[in-house]
Amino acid sequence: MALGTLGSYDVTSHVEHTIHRRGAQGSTRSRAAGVLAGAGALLAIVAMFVVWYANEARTATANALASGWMPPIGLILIIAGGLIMATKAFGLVPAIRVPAERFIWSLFAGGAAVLILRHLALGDLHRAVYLLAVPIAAWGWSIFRQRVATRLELEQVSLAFAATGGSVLVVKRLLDSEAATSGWLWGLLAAVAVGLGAFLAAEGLGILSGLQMLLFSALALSTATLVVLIVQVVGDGWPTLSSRFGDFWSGTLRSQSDDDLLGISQGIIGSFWIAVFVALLAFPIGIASAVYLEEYAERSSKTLREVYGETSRAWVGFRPVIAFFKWIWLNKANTLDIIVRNLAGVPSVVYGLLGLFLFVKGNVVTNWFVGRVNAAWAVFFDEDELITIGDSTLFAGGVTLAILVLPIVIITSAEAIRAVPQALREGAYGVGATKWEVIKSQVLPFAAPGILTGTLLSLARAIGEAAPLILVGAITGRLAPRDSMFSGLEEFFGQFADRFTAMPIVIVGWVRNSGRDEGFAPAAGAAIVVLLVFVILMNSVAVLLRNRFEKKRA
Amino acid sequence: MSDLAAERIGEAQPITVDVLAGPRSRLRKETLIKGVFLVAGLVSALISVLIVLSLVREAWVFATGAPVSEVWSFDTETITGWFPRRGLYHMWTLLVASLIVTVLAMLVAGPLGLGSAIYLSEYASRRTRSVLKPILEVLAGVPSVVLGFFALFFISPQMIEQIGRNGWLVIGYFIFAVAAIGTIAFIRREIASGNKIKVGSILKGAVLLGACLILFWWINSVAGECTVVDGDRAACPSDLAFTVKRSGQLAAAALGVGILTIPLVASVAEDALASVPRALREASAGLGARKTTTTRQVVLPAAISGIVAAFIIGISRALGETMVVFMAGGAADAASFTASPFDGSLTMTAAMASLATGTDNVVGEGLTFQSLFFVGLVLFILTLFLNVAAGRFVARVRETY
Repeated sequence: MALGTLGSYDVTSHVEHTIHRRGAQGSTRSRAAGVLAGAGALLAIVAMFVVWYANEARTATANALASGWMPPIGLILIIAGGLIMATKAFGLVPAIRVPAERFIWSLFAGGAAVLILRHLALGDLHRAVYLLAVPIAAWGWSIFRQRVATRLELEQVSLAFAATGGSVLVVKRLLDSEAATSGWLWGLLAAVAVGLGAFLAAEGLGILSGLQMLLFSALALSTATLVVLIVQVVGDGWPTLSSRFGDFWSGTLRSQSDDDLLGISQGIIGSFWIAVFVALLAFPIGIASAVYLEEYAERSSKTLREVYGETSRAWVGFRPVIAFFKWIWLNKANTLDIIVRNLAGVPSVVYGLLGLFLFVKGNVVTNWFVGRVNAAWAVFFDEDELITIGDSTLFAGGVTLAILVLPIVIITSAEAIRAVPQALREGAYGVGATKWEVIKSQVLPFAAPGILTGTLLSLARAIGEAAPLILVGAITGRLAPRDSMFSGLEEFFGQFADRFTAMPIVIVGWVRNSGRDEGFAPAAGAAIVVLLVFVILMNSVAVLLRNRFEKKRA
Repeated sequence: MSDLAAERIGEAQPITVDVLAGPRSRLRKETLIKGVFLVAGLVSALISVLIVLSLVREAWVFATGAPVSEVWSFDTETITGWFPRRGLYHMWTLLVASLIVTVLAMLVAGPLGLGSAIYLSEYASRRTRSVLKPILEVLAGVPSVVLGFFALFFISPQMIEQIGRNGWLVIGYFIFAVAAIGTIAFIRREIASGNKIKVGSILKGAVLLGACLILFWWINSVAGECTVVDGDRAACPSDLAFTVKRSGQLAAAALGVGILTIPLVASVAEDALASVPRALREASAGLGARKTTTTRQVVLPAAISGIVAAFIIGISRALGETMVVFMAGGAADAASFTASPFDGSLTMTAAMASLATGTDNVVGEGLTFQSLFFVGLVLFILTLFLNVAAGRFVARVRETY
């Protein structure tokens, strides 16, 4: 009695229930259900693509074809599933197990075959082959590789059959031209239906926790988004890239999309110089800040009240203010930490406003600073101003973005420095090194991979950022091409004082233009592909670097 | 040999603190280097001050110059919208649009991000993790311009227009799917239980089946009654919002922002889940709890502050996201007041961006330039508040464990 009930909660029945649910072959069954759920999701994705493509090139014949053979297939699958289920239920068939691998791959091959047949009928096979078969195969393979050794219970196979058939019927219903429905939404719906079916089936059979499958579908959907995004963007941009890559690369901003000279060279150059600004300004300052934060800055355990008590009474009236600043000064590490974290959370447009205020509109401080720089410049070169205030210049854009990524550099570098073992520092102190020597010879080399990862990530962020540049006034419309920037020192520095654009800005400009001139949309897609290649490359290198060093250290 | 050594020791100066500290120049160098690092550390403090200064200065001009009753008007009769070039600044237009985008984005990013985080931290095998986590991280690095393009050319026509056009049909099919699967599962369980099948359960099954059939009939009849004009479909009973804007809608932008926010929510939530001690999970398992029970009743409550922080950070990010809303939000440089996600409008961020794009630089009559900073200040205060709150929650997790 005492053991059986805890409060009003019946423990014994709960344990029995748990044992019953888990069953004798819990692990095999749960793996099987995992395969089932995966198959459902895979199928749903196939269905999604089917719907999408069928919808894209909807013709009368295509429709007739679809209505011709899709319902029978669905019905056959449902009947097959039902039959197997029924015979199992009445004990006509003994427990038969089917190799999961063969089953999954036959389902997969079936889906692919449906697609390929459909596109053969429509006369454009290449899209199905290129866009569908390959990524789905790769995805499916990576997910199921560790699970293919399982064998499926026959009843699960039958359920999968039924679910597949049902989803085919739903797809067919959605393809109906009379219902005037189309698109991904319906595929998504089919996916939800199949997923829910697999989920409830597994719950009902007591094989697998429904929560786990729900969670997995969340993760799968998030990652699938990236795949869909890339497929869509590449699909939009590919014609431009493949037909006129050279011109596109060296072309400039134009007002008409059918202009042969339309291209991204100015954007590439702008983004390149912005990256240089970020590397020259944000990296040294950011890393130095991180070193200060982690190695030098003091932390004090004194409360504000205690500091107030210690403050001289001579500061009549200002005593709290003085005490507050004193307290902040004593707690430099915490204060800086809070400041940097809040800076990292400030929206990027607000940095744009800062850039606008500092460099474009001009004010006392910047005017003075720029005046000094220009005076120094004038010593070496006559006439030419290095930096102009009151205009949107490459200098303004570059410095603004350097300010924007500074907190990111600081946070990631500080994390890397924090991870350096204390023993390393103590060892170095033990042989007589000073603080700077410890930092230089032990801390920084050890933290270098982490710092490198952080700087790469922030560089990628800076290259992809558009909002601050728009506020600072990057050019979205037409920009006259510059002469060669290497023809002389003054030309070289002159470009920093000139109007500019950057890759993301080029994209924004073309997307906005596509409202009046539809030809700009594929151009924007092509520019995005170029940008994505750079950004994803940087991100992947950063992530790989980090994972590699994490593994090494562990 | 030993004599020589003894002689040397004898000759050596007595060891004092000064000797140990080394030459003065070395100390001076240390102080100098510390100063350099301090200056670098102060840069971020300077930037913070400059941000506040730049915002407040111009925003003050706007706040004192613009008529308050107009800017914050609640009166539905006089509300016009955000038309900076005509001198009409209605802040609620921007705030409501921002609210719509943020809420919808979090409806996407919240469940997906949290679900991904829980799966990655509690269920994923090392192998699954090593494949899926980097993909999520790459998604985090995708520039917002790309999401803006995606939202405008894909989400808007393929998803939002479909929902607007066939909203009731979608809802109907969704309910049908749930009902049908529930019915199948019920019948399946009754058969599989092995008990004698009772009349009551047969009745229940019949009622469920009937309900499903009626639902299916309703859906089909609703969809079938579209009026067709010149071969084109004009209007259907299933339309949720028929006049869908072609050049993007708030809802499309919101989905884009949501996708952009998923990795952020996921990574913060995963950190929180990872900080829950293993001992808690083991204790729960030792009491015989299933993994699901452990996750739901032990791990999640333990990490709740971190998860709240993840949501708040997500909201702050969604609020501050500019390019997606600017490109796919469906309004060029002015917007009339709307509370419908199927309309185009300007959020705070999009309003700022569009003010600055029109002529490649901000020019405008009267207070246009100042309004930019005023909106910026409101946005800054909102996000600062959210970030500070999130910081508090994160700190609470760290304190507990």
